[in-house]
Amino acid sequence: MKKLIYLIPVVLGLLVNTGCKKDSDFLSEIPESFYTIENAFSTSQQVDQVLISIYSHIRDLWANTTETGWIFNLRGNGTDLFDVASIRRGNSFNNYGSINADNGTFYEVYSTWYYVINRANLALYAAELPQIQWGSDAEKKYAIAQARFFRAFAYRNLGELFGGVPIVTDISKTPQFDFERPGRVETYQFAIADLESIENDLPEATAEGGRLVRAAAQHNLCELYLAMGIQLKAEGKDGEATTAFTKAVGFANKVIDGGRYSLIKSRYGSRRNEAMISFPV
Amino acid sequence: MIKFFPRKLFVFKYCCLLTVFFIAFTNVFGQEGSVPVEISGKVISSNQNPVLIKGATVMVAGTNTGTTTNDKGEFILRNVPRSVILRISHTGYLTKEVQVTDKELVIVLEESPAALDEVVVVGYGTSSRKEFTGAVSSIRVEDAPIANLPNMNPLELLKGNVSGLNIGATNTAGGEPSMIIRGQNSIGGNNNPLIVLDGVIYMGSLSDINPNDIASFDILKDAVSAAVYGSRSANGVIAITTKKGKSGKPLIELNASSGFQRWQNKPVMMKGEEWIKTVNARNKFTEGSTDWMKSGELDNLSKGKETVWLDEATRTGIVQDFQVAVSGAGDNVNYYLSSSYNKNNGIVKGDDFDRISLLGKINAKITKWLEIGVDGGFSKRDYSGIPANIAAAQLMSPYGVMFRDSLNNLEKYPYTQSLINPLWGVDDGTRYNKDLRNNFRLNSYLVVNVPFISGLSYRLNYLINQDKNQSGNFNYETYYVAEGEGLARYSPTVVQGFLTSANGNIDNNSMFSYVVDNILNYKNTFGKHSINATAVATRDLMRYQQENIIGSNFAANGNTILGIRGLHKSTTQRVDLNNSRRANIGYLGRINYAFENKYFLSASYRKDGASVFGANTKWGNFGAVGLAWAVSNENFLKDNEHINNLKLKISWGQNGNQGIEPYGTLSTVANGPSGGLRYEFSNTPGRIFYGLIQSALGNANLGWETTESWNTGFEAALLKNRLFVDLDLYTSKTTDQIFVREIPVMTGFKTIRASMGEVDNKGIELTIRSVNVQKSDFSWSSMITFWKNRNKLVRLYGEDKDGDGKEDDDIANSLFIGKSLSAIYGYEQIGIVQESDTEYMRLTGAEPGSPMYKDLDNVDGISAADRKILGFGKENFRLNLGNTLTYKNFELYALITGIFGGNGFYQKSNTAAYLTRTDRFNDNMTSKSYWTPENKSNTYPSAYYSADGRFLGLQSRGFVRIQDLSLSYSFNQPWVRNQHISSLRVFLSARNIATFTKWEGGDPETGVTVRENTFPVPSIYSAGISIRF
Repeated sequence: MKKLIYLIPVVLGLLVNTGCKKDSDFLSEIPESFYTIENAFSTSQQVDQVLISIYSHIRDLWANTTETGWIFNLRGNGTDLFDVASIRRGNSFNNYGSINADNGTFYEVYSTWYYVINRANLALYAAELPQIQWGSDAEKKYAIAQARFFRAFAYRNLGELFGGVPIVTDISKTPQFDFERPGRVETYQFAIADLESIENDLPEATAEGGRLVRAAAQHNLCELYLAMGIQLKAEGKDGEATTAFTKAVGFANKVIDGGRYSLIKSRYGSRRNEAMISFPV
Repeated sequence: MIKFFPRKLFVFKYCCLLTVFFIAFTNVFGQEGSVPVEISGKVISSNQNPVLIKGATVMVAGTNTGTTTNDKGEFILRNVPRSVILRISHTGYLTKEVQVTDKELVIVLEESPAALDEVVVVGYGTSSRKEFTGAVSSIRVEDAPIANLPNMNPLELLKGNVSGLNIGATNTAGGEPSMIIRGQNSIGGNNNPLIVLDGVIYMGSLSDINPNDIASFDILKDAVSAAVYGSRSANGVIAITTKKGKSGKPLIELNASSGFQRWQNKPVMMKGEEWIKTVNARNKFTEGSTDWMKSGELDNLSKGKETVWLDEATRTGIVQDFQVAVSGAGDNVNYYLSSSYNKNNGIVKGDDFDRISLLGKINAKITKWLEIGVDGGFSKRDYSGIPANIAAAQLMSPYGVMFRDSLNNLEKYPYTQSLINPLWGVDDGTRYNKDLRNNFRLNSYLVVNVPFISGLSYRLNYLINQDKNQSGNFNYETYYVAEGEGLARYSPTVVQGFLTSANGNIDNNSMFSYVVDNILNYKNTFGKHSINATAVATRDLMRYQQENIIGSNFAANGNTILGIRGLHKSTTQRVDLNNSRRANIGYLGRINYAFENKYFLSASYRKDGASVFGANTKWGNFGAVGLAWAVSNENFLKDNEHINNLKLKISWGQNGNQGIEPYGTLSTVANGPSGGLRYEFSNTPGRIFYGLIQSALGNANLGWETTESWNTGFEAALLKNRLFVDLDLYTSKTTDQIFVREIPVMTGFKTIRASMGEVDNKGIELTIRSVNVQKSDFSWSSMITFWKNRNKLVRLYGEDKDGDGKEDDDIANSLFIGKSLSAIYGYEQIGIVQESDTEYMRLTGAEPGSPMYKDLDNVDGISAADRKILGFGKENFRLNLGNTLTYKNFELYALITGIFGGNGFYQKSNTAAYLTRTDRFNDNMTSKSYWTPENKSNTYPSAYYSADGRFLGLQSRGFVRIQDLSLSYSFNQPWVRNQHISSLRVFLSARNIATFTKWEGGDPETGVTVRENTFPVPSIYSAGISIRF
């Protein structure tokens, strides 16, 4: 019986010293219940999920379901679109006296478009990963086309609101501090190049209602050329401006004459049969 | 009086078990000494020429029975049990405990040069205090008066007793106070000291350690003491040593105490009439109008029925503490078995806690060269229940309706604008909460004394700790009754409509950790040189797993009768899993060297790796050196009567802090339902697509926060060991603070975690202990502790955006270069705007009755440029005084603690102390004489002044408190011994008895203002009994 006691240190020793990992393995961090950027992507569907996050993000900006203050401002609060009574202390964006460069709205609006750019770049990065298998070449092209569309859409918005902004075309792996601002025209040009390169990779129609179609790119190209033309004109480059305007007309014609879209001439929606209310003006 | 627990049956079983436990042990180990006898003996010194020691104290251990030796060194004790343990002490000698075997005893006391030969825990071993070069404070708990106090958490034993250690207040049942050693080093990271339990790093909760099982604490404060713990030592170390058996007769110990808790200085809210007056005043309603009141309130008003909501939401709390312990030691075996039950019903209704804990420790010397020990612990804590909302109780209309019907069913909206009844959900069946925490702990070790090399030993520690927690909540549909009036809101058909809102969750989580220490020690003396060298290789791992099951919407199911156990019947179900792992590796070398018992050197070096850091910075190196000089061992002081011990010491070292949680350096991804990004395409409504994003930008270079510190000081025993003075001075510099810093958002991320910045601390710590009177039946000793810490932010992000050549402050986060942390920045208030201050009103647009601010920039009006640092949240210094008086069988212990402000320190915003107007138009408030054109107060703004964010209402939190009081009486009358009782003691104790402060509202230490949902710090009064057989 007593001799058995001698076994205790041996057993303990075995318990402790067996299965010892190398120091570096013991200290490496491999999350079990969530993904990191290193292991998140293995199927083409996950690339599409990055695009879904952009669809979701832009819907939130347009619909503002969370009723976030700065999104109201982005959507036109304090402009001739709509206003909020001054008694609502939280909504002071209509008081131009209190709006200055430190106002958080500008930072949020600026940031939100770079979030879109970051996600678009993430989708482009993930689409080219060697382990991603695509069902068809067209499927991959469509994923890339959507990403490029959103990136261009973000640069268009940034260009309109802030002028020239730094062009970022890759995901960040380390913090970067040396961004440089190109001119507004360069910003528009980057967006135009992105859109023109994928115009034909977007389908004319999709099965999923709300997915990007070719006309969306053409419409944005039209507006981008228009905006660039205005900027060029302002910079005194009338010749280049005229070329841009012509391009704008060309892309507008593609949408207008494409046969797919027309102006709405009658009431639509589930309440189309309700009586009309008229306001005396 | 001891109240019986509610769970009678359980307790009954529990007691039976313990009784069996007892009997078994007493039969095995105990041969009861039953007949009282007379014991006599003499006490001599151990010198080569022994001398008789007169005036030595001879006590029956664990009692207050005793005597002193006469001129011939002799003593006689009458009527004591045959086999008692005697504790013999005398200044200048080491205290000795002797098991009485003969009736004629010769007790040999060994001389102690400075009566300071205690052993201190220094990490991976122990050291004698006189050789120790660092700053360590030791607190003995066993048999000390602080053990009589109603302690629910181990840290409460340390409050006010250790210079340099700040222990916060406990304000919830089973809550854990905050702890911090030598000031705040880290701005964003953890500032908690490392806990070491019986020599091994402890990663569990302190609440699982029963205070009754603790023998002593050693608090390692400086670099050289703590450096052996490398990357986790920067905030100091609290080493806990649990009790063990004592040689001699087995001891059976029974401790029981029971008491109650009261809310001291409970805020008094306005009564009905005054409340109506101020509501009218603050809203500029017509004086005397009540048309804004709801019908239920008007009804109560007409009946003159008022409710003091704070009284309804609180109660007299209960504390109970029962412990049974069996311990003993033979030549080769030492055991300690203990079992405890604690219960606390807090002051706030529904704030309940109980704990059962068991601890078993056995160690055995198997052979000359092998020793084995196993400690096993179990604890079960129950925090279940939903406490009342104290904030709502302070805001609620005095005429609010408590019950909606005559059956005493609660009204959810009693009525102060949208405010829910403070008791809603507490025990009305609308909500359910459980919170159970089980802990299993096993600490085993073996020591091999290598037989061939004298002084060489190997020790293996293996500690495992397993927490299994289960918590859950359920909100029934009844919880969601809508705001409004009338009973229709409570009708089954209406309430049924809220089934869509009913929801609940079950959260099962577990934490497993282990620590393996391989310790090689070599200890030897060569002539005048003695060496103690230690090498350690250690690894530890902590693994956390959480399964959270969430269910909501029971409309399709039809009811919620199954409650939390019917989550699977809900329409929307989700499972969240969260796993994490944290691992550390350390390699340590340490050498302690002593020359002639006069000069001491200790040096250590630790190479430490931690998983939480970035892939490029997993490893760090930490070194420390300490020197000490025992001046009193030099010939010129050796026989000095007044200076019995004097040691000077200095140390330097680097310590690390892990200011980051697992995976904090990784580029994480959010996706799936838990990622929160959803989209539906219009052709498939209801089909949800989930998005995927990168949620954080990782930083593979994120590393340690390093604290480099110096400590110097002295330890002295003076005037024939009657006065002990310990002084420490220190400075520290913590660099590479882990911050969340802003980065250009063009990266796609606004922030990243980064290491930067520096915080310096410096301070002074003084402990004075004195034996004021020492006579055979009366003694009085005192302890004063004083400490002061200063904090300075030296560097931050290294940015100078304003181009003034100085680094910019971070005003948004109250971080100012060159200033203490927790700076309060704002507008300096200079009273209240009076009607005569026309110029001020013209420039600022302020109304009379608003606070008036000082114009600092000499530009008309008050603008952001008029802000300055008004003070600091940090305290100035702490000063505590403890006194222990013994007279015959009585022992009285009192501790007075104080945290002091002054020079702008220890301030906090307390707007509620000044304002009458609040967020709701009809909140209740404390009464104050607010400004009116007639009552030109210069302190209280007008009733309708609505706080604008500039108004802070700064107050000092400085206070002096009678913290602890304990009075005990030990019985040694014949009837006690006739009952085979070796010691019987009864005691009364109280904690947080009275607080003297200018802070208004709640407890100044927790800095609670009125109308907050922070629970009060209770005053506790308890009575107890301790019996040893």
